[in-house]
Amino acid sequence: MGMTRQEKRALVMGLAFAAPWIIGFVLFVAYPVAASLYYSFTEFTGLDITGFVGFGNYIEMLTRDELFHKSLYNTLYYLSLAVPLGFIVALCLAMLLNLKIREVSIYRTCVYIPNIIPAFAASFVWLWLLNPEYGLVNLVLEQVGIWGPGWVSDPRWSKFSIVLMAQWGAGGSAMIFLASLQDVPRSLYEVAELDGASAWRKFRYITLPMISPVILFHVIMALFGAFQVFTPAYIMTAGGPANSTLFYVLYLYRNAFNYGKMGYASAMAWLLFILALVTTLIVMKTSARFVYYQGEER
Amino acid sequence: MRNHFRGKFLVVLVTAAMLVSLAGAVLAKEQVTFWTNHSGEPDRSTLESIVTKFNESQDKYEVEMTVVPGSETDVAKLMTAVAAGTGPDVYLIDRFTTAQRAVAGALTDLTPFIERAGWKPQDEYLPFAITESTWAGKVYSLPFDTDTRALYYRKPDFTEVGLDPEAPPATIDELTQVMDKLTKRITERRFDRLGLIPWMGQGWHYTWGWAFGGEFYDVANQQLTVNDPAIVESFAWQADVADKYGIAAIQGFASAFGSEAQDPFIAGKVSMIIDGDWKIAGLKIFGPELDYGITNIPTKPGVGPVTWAGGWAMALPRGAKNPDGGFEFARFAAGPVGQEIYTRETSHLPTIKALVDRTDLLADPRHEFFLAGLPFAKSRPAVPVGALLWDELTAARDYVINGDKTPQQALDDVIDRVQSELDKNL
Repeated sequence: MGMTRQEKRALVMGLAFAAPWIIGFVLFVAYPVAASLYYSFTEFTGLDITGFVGFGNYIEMLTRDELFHKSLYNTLYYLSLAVPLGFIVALCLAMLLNLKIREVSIYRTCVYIPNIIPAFAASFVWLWLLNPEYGLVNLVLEQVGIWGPGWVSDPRWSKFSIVLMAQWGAGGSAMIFLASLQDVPRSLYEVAELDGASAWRKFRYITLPMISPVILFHVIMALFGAFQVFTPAYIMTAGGPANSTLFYVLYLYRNAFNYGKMGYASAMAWLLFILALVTTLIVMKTSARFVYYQGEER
Repeated sequence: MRNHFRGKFLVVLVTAAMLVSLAGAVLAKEQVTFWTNHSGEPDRSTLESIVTKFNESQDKYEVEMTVVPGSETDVAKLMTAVAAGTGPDVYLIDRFTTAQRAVAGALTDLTPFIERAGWKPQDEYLPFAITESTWAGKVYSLPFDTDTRALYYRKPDFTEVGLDPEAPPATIDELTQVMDKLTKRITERRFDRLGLIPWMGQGWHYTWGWAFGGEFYDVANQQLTVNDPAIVESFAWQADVADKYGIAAIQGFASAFGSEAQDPFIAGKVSMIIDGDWKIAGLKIFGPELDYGITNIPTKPGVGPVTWAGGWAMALPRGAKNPDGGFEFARFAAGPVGQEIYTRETSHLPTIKALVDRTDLLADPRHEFFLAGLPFAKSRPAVPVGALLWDELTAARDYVINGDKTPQQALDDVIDRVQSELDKNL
């Protein structure tokens, strides 16, 4: 196990050069993560630890806290709609932007623009678009004879409205899909065309398998994003009406900063982490059959 | 030669500058930092003028004011700063959350400062205000402004439907009838105008609960009583209104409007609204032509005039670097001088007994109505779960008007959730 002097020197130098990152990681990531795990077993106001409660916070959350269940349900509802819908919208946009038309770069820019607008500002604009009396959305619906709902004021619609709004940011994912679409070798399509394959078959048997690693990446990132949905509810609805948009992270935030229950909020954060981890593992395991990496034997 | 002269001149200049700054450092006043989340006008600039007045009034401390993000119950900025040891010396908090922040360890106990100053705040402030500032016998904040609530109504609307604009509804039954008369429908479920949306403006759970004669908290036994039959009845009344007009229709209609220029009361979309005294200032700017009246909140017979008061308070966060300077400023701003400026410029009401009769401070005679409400004004329970209780009551009200829970069930559930949190802190 002996190291030569040169190896030792290299190790020290290596560590020294990596030190800024190591220190930053330990101080600003590892320590806070470990501390929040500890806090999750305590009653912690954010300033003082007033008691050690073991798994008390977790038990309270899982067995007694009605709002916790509601917030988890709201987030899962959002996730189960926003992830598939986001995927379909982004892929459709990407395929449209992959068409060989002259001014396509203008469209690409337009589709991406929403991503550079802060979610905060966009939420306010959407509040106006979705205004039940004077909003553009209901105005358009009225032209075709539909009296639109109170998008964010009606508890039956509020979550779905936020799902729809999220599609406004689909341009970012569309760009990633577009890049992967352009990576699919032309020769595969040419061969298929020689064999007389239809457009659907080319999509199903060439495009989808070839971009499947990117789809997996998208789904996992979208799941993470959906578990953490916060901003639109924080700004547009404040969790209402009737707690119908009280998402998991919004409830966590309230516990931490409005109610002085930082310990409970830490426990919620850890449970969310475990939930996201398990979901990701399931997706990774079950996706092995669908995802094709080039060069891989099948 | 010329260069040489210039060099000498520079040396003299630098030396002079150093001497001046040295003298400045010796004579410099102690810094006091003051944070508020009042970013709107005229509140913000009025606070600034109180700071200026304080800085001019003495030569020991220099207060610097900063507007920070936050709201009535959202003090994330304060909490993280205090935890990191970078909090301010003075923070303007919503007074009814004093107990909550004190229990969370975010505030400095002011009692020693008060005793050292040989001062009795109980003599200076209105009882409800100093009660809100006190937890477990210790004073944690100094009461600043206050406000009360009333029913605003549009006189022309009353005339239009044949009601006497000088005889606004006084009881809940009268109110229910008048609401119906004033409502104008486009179709069965679309409105051109609603008489009143009970939960709009300041029509909170507390407002109607008290108007029905209920009590939310039993101080002697430290028990929440939000399932008081009168409060249950007030929720049931709101559910009836929701049912009668259609909750989706009302909420859709209500959410179409905003504040200021989009105010539904100014636009004539609601004929009546429960609101606070600050609305007078807004009406003056955005609806100067509007002929409106102000009257007591309608109540159940025998309950008597009802209103409730809120307001803010000056607190010293824990870890304040200059607590003595902070207390000095807090006492000045929340004292007669600061409150007189604030009352005159913002038309909020004072919490200082000596200023309560000063109608000359009020910009508009209509404020007198609100000032007159202070002696019988109720205030929210001074408990360390004030913010939680508020959010839970709001959610309960939403459940009830949306038909998700019965009033009894919703309010029982509030007690279930909040009483245990309260007990932990007693």
